[in-house]
Amino acid sequence: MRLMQRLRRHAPSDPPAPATGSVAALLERLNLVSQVRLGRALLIEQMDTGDCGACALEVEALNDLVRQLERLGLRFVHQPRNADVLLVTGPVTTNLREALERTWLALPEPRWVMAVGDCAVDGGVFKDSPAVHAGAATVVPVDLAVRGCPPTPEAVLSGLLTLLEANASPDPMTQARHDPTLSA
Amino acid sequence: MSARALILAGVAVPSRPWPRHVLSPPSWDRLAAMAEPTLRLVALWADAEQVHALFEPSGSSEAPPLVASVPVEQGRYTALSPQHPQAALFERIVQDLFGHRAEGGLDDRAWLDHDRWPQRRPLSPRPLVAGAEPGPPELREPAEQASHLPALHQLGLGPAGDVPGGPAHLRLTLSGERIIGAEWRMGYGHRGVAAMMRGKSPRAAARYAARLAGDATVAHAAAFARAAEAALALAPPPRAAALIVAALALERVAIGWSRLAAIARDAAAPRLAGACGLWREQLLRASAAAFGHRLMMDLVLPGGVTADPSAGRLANLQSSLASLSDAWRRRPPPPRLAGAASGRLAVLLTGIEPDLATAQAALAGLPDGPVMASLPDEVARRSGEGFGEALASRGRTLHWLRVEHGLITAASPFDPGLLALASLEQALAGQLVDDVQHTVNLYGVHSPGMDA
Ligand code: SF4
Repeated sequence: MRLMQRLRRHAPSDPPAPATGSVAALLERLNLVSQVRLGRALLIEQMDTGDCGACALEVEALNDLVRQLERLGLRFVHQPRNADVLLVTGPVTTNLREALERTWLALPEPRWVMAVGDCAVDGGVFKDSPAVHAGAATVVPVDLAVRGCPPTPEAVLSGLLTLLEANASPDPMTQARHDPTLSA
Repeated sequence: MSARALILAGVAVPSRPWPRHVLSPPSWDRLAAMAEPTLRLVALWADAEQVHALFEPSGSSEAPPLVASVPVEQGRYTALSPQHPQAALFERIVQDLFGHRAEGGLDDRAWLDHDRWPQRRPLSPRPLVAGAEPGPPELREPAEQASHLPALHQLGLGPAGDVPGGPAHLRLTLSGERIIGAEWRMGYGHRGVAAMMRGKSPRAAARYAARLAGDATVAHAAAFARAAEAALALAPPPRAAALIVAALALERVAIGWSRLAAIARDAAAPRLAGACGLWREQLLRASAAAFGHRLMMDLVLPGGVTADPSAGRLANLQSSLASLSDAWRRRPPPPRLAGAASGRLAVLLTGIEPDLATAQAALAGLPDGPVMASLPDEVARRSGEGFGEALASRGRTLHWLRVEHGLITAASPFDPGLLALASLEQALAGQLVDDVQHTVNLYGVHSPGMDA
């Protein structure tokens, strides 16, 4: 009983509000790609492209809260063919470039790519190594970048919610209610 | 002549804490031919001119490790893998990075080099333009089919997707649900860490050590820092040393809980999985509050630590640890695993409490004073060689460094997974496919630090 109380006391806090700055750009792209409406659910395929493991650990920390995640409409899948979002961690080593390209192609359109962590964003500390490609954007189009080494689970979640909002609200008028930058 | 005497007869090169002995090629050949059960090879690595091997006396002997080196002649040296099978993986790595050939080795296929690098032998003084040599060879042939087994089939996983221990390629040879053979192909995560370290000062290069493996960031950073301190004959202040002991123990507990959560989830023990996930999260938050980073990445540098938590923050960390220890003692029951896995699970479970105690004791007895040694020019420009080690949840991290006039000229990091891989592949034979995920976790094989 005391254990349960303690667990509850330390239960993760409420998810942070989505970072809305990049929603406009996402919406624009969404309008271009025929506005396939997927509703408030995003299926996420995580791909490790030479991650040190810490970014993956922090993404996994989200999985520990999986009930909350699904309530928010976010679900990790293990099949790129079923996924809406490719969540890339790691700088893209030369040895994994082809695997990234193939995985990206396996996602149905419209597909989003989220680069999570400094490595995936621009290669991070490894950007000058000849053994890496300096980030996911050098290989596939990236829609959203989440910095940090590694980013906190909250920052990753915030990024995912940004995509979710864009995904669920192809209509700019609906979106305007959530995004002050669009209402002006 | 015993192997020990043979090594000690070599020309001693100063290196701390253990001297390195350079053997003539004929002496090395004799060493390679000796079946010497009292010496266990734990690492083999190279620089541009020599190949080095670190042996530990097996058993309870107090004797220090022994380091033997041999000059590479015409691109070759005599392999140690026939007598020390665990050397095979290191020999493949040395061949890929430097081009030194292990003559008579058990396995000469590429490991890190997948024919995708702009240059082959990137650490050799004369790298080759890619494509100048044939690409990576194939995986081993499946084991001979035993007549009493139903038809074998093969299952190839990865490198993309959820490969246990990955990103990697895992090929399982199966008879029904049972594994007959398992072989990993790794190297996918190679980022060129040793190459990035060269030409930098140890403090500047520490960030690469901290990013070898996210589940051992403190342990790799601490082993690297200890190697650099050994090379420069520098000592961290007592307060820093105690904080490092605490940080290493906190990392082992947090990662231990991560691993337990994954194993419990896989082995249908959801209550333990859920509890470990939450405890880990609480511990990471407590660590972040005290040290400024959830995983304590970049906390440890050669000469000390970068954060000095205030008394109030330390008290908070202490009280979090007290309540976590209390919670851990009332943990839900662990899953039941079969065979060797159950022994390894017991080790993981019983290790948490002493680590929590170690962290608490180190924090309780924290000496006052600075947390970073000053680095006057005279020290910063020294030359030397050093080894450093530290304990991660998955096992021991080891680093070797050569520093010349304050800059790293050669570096070799060793992740615990490198020594564990061969025994893991053996342990999987005979198991069910469903057991792969937690077995890999229990053996501590995780590719990022191994691929470097
Ligand atoms: S961004 Fe940092 S934490 Fe993430 S993979 Fe790169 S080095 Fe590791």
